[in-house]
Amino acid sequence: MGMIRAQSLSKTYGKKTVLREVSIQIQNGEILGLVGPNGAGKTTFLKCLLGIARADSGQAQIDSFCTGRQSLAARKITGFAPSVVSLYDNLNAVQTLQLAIHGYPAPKLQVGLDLFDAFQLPRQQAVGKFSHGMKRKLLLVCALAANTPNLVLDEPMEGLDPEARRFVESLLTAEAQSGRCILFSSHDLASVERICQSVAFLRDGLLLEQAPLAEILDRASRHIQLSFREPLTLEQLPQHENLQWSGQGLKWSLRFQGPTEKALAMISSLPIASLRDSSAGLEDVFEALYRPELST
Amino acid sequence: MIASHFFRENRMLIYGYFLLMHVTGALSVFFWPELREQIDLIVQLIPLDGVRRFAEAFQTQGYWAYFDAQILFKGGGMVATAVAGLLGSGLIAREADRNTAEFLLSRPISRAQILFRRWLAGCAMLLIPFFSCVIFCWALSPQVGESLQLGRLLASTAHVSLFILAVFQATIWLSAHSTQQLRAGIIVLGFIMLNMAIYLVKHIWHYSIFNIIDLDVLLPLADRGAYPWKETTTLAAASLVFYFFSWRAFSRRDF
Repeated sequence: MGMIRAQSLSKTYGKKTVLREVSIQIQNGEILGLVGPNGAGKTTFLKCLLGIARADSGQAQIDSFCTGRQSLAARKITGFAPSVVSLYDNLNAVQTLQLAIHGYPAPKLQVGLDLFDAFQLPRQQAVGKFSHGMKRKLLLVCALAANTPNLVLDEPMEGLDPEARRFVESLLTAEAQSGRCILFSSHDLASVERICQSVAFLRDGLLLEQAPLAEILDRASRHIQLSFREPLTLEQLPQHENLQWSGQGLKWSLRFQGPTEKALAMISSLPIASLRDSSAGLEDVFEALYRPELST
Repeated sequence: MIASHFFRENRMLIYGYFLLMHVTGALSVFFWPELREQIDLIVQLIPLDGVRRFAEAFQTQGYWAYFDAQILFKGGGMVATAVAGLLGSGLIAREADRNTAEFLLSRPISRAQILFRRWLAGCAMLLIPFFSCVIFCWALSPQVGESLQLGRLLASTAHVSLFILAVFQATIWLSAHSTQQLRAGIIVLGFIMLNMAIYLVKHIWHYSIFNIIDLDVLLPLADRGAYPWKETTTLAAASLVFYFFSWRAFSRRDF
């Protein structure tokens, strides 16, 4: 069973502060998505977590091992897939896998070989001839074949086709269900929304929030598109401080906060012809959180 | 795994080095009878003082001096140190250069282990061909009517090996600070060439690092078995110091 915890991790490169007292926690069986725009500090955070870069202050713990002082022990129980898809071009896929899982207490080479087949990766071809997406898959296979209770994946979906993404999502979900603790950074918010139990938002090295996904989505305003059988005016529609109507005649849209059931109960008496849920997804939450930054 | 991977990455360089050392070594041995005939004339024709000192040693000390100069000084001191520069410069800097450091360092192997295993592999890759070449040329020597005492020859080879290792270790130290293998390699090869240039200039030749492994050091060992402990100790200490600083730089470095 895994557990990852970081407390007040800070990192500065020269004069630039890349991480500012970032704290997160992931329990076993949980998948946490680390999201943020480019340069937010996601990769640096993951590097500090694994001891590839040294944090200036704060501490991180993987299971019972402090990643600063006991970095080696922490890495032994953590499979890692880096964001940079640079590998040793002269090695083939199997040799890369062998090198990657070397040193782990209970690696599973066969798991890796089976995943090669599942991902349709040629085993004997030199990695230098692999495409970007194939290298990404290979890195993921290496992390999974290490057979560790914790997985740290930096941009595992980047460069993958939709089919491969779905397959990776199902793999990660299965891994989490078996008790593994998974932390992954991603720009693919749809994937994060599909498989993560909780999400952490980073901006300029600062943790804006870490919360369960359901809670984040619940807090976001919900949005329903309604078509009525007969034209209605605003006065005919139910009014409440949490309901916000826009539109006219037959077509209206409703924004509301709080549980969907409660809102549906309030409009159930209306002559509804059709109803479409256009509620905010993680992408809308992300946009709302980072809007000032994205617009600059 | 780490050591074998390092070997695999550098095997073409090492095969080339092995071949070059043995072929040029054998050619040098078989050239000796011709040189011996004309050595008096050659000494008069050589314009550079640094090189003439070697030829004069061939005149007075014979095959020992020739063997030391060709196989140990030229083969070991120049070819092997150049290979040490190429090999050492890539030991750490190449990982940063091609962005594989993240992949390598996230494995459950300590940086000290990575450095040590690669260093060990590098030592083997540098010294096995060198010792092999020396023994090969020693075995060929009776073909040109010469024989050398193997024990003293191996002692001389061990001394030059320490020189090669010191250069190798200094290069690794540079590599631990560098993000580009090419830059580290150029610095080391430039340093070696500069020292060779200094070595060939009258009055300042003794400021060159090649002074530590030239005939003034190797011939007393061949003649009297006088092992150059002072120079050997200096080289061993330099290697240790550079190893320590390499380890420190590597273990503190962010990738």
